[in-house]
Amino acid sequence: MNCADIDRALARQNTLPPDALTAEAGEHVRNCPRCRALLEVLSAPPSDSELRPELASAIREHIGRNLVAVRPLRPARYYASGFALIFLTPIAAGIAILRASGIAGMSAPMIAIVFGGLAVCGGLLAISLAAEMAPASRRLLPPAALIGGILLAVAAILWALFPYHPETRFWLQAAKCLLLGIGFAAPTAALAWALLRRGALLSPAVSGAAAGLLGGLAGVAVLEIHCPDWNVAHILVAHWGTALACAAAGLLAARRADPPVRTGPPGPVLR
Amino acid sequence: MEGVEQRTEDGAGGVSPQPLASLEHWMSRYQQADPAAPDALIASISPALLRFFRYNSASREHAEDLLQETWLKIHRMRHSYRPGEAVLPWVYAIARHVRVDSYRRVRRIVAHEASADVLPEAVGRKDVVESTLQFDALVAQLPDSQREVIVMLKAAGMTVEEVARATSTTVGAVKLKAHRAYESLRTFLTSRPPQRTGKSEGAQ
Repeated sequence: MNCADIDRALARQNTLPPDALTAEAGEHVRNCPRCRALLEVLSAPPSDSELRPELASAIREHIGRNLVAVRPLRPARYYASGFALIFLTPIAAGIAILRASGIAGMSAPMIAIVFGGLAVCGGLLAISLAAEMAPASRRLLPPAALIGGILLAVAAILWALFPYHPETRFWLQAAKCLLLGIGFAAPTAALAWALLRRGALLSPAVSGAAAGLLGGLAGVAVLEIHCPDWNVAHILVAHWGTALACAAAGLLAARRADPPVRTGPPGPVLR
Repeated sequence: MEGVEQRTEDGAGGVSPQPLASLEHWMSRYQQADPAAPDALIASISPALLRFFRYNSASREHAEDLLQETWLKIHRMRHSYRPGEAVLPWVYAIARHVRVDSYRRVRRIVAHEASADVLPEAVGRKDVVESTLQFDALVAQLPDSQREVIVMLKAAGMTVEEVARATSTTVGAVKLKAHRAYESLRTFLTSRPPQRTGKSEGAQ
């Protein structure tokens, strides 16, 4: 056993100061001054940090003045179901209101890949949004990574499945689809944001982007059902663009509503 | 765990110490507006929180400001604690966010002052550098992410799982950071004899 093994053994421990080491590790520590010094440092009691009575009183006083009963958040699965419902509602509305010209021409595997992919992404976002509502919730992935991953995955699916062909009035058609997609996405994102605000958001900007993306994905689903234009350029600009635009708008709106860094120097809060 | 269990000081206003196991109980009572609950929680959690802020490059005064800000947030967000879950990861996720926010704020101010030809002071480092405690001095040399993990493990008495939840990462990532931190600490220890303290260094 060498020093690196001791480091690994320490890193495997669940707490600090470290629990008892194995006999072999103990033997090494007894003979190695460097390891002994490291263990002494890690096992020493933490330095003294007394709480000043005036500070404790100030905090207690502030909390006492504003102490009212609150209802704790429900379990995360309850909110995840809520976000899933918010995601599915505009899609159902789109099917009811618009003609299903897009989906009508798709083969069964295409339908499975496009809508299966969107459903998985929507589900992951719903779970992630529910986790965002409470600090220290268990997460599948960091939210920012999930947002980036979903945008890339949806773009890859659409790029792989649809062919390219040149078309006239490309930008006009794209603008029409973009507006339609955003028309479905915006209320969805707003509803998701309203539900999110029932929790405690530590990173409102990222949560806003996730809420926007949830709406954007609902918009993409509606467009895939309705739009008969299978040109991959149109689909990426107008359909996937809806998701991207909504995620960006959600991020900016949340930053505006709740700026992450307030101006002014750091200073006493309660004194 | 002892980091949180041990405090009984009058510094918290004469409140008895609360064992960790009952933090969950007090947190639920806090949500029900029991007036005794904030006292118990402040007495139990604050000293370790203060240490967390001090180890993470804050002066005593700055650490106290961060502590107050954290309690304001805890109070505002108390409904987001789910009864039965561990309290410490929830508290430290909030504390960590307060620290990061403050860091960004300070960085912005320092950048502004620098642009106005005012020499920026290394905010919060002074106390750590002056510290006579070896652990403080050693841990201050670690990169932010490693220091955060080591401080949560040692000063807050959290488990690896709890640190992973507080920092929104995986247990594996926390263990990797801890491993790297031990390697760095060993390097610091070999380049600097363990008996030396901040004071003796100054004398030399």
